[in-house]
Amino acid sequence: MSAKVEFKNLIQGNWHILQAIGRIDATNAAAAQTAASAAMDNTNQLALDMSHLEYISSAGLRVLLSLGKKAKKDAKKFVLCGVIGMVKEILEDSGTDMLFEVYNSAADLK
Amino acid sequence: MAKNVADWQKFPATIENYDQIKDYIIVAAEQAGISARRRLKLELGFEEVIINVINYAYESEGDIFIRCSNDEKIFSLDIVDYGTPFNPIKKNDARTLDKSAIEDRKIGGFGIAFMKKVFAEEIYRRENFFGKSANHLHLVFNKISQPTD
Repeated sequence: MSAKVEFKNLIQGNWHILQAIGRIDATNAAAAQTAASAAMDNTNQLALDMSHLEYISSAGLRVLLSLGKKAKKDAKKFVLCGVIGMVKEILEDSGTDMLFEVYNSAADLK
Repeated sequence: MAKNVADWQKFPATIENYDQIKDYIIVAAEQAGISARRRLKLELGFEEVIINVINYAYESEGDIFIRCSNDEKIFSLDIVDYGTPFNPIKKNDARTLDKSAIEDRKIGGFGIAFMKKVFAEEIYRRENFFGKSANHLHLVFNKISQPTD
């Protein structure tokens, strides 16, 4: 319902990198979840690049947890990268960072 | 707390109005001299509270009332609705990190945890608001980040 977040799909080696650009809040979390789930369905290794994400709220964290659960269920790898600045603080404050493999940047993906 | 109707901004409590409500608060915060980064923190603190009012306060439709106050060191945000009595401060929060693996981890609860982390003080009252019983949440935000934030 909102274009506040856009996604770019990039391929890097075996990784499908989904770059989130903008912000994820309660008004667009559902749309973000749909987009990220669709990307996960098309790969075995999905990295969500959050380096261009200005803001993620509790609604956005719920999306991350849902994606993590889906990855477990589907036996896929799902990691976070580009976790910096405000987004990093929010993930750390909520303990969400401890539930995922987190990389500073997409360049660190092995 | 003295009430002057002119201090309050009324919005229909619908998800379509959320951005307008958010922008109203963020503009007031900007005018109060709060930095862009602190404004994101502020937003993190109030988003879930306002979304809860939008989603759960009213069975059909209703309004949400917002008041922003600027003092020397603090920015106060008051949120009022005429909906079902609900004290968000008492809602369980998920900030206490449970050690369960991701497949078992309960989804949710972060919003209220963020509210408690972001605001220096939260006061809830069920009170008379211009003649009707209402939920009134008073949130106090430090304009400059404190070591405890």
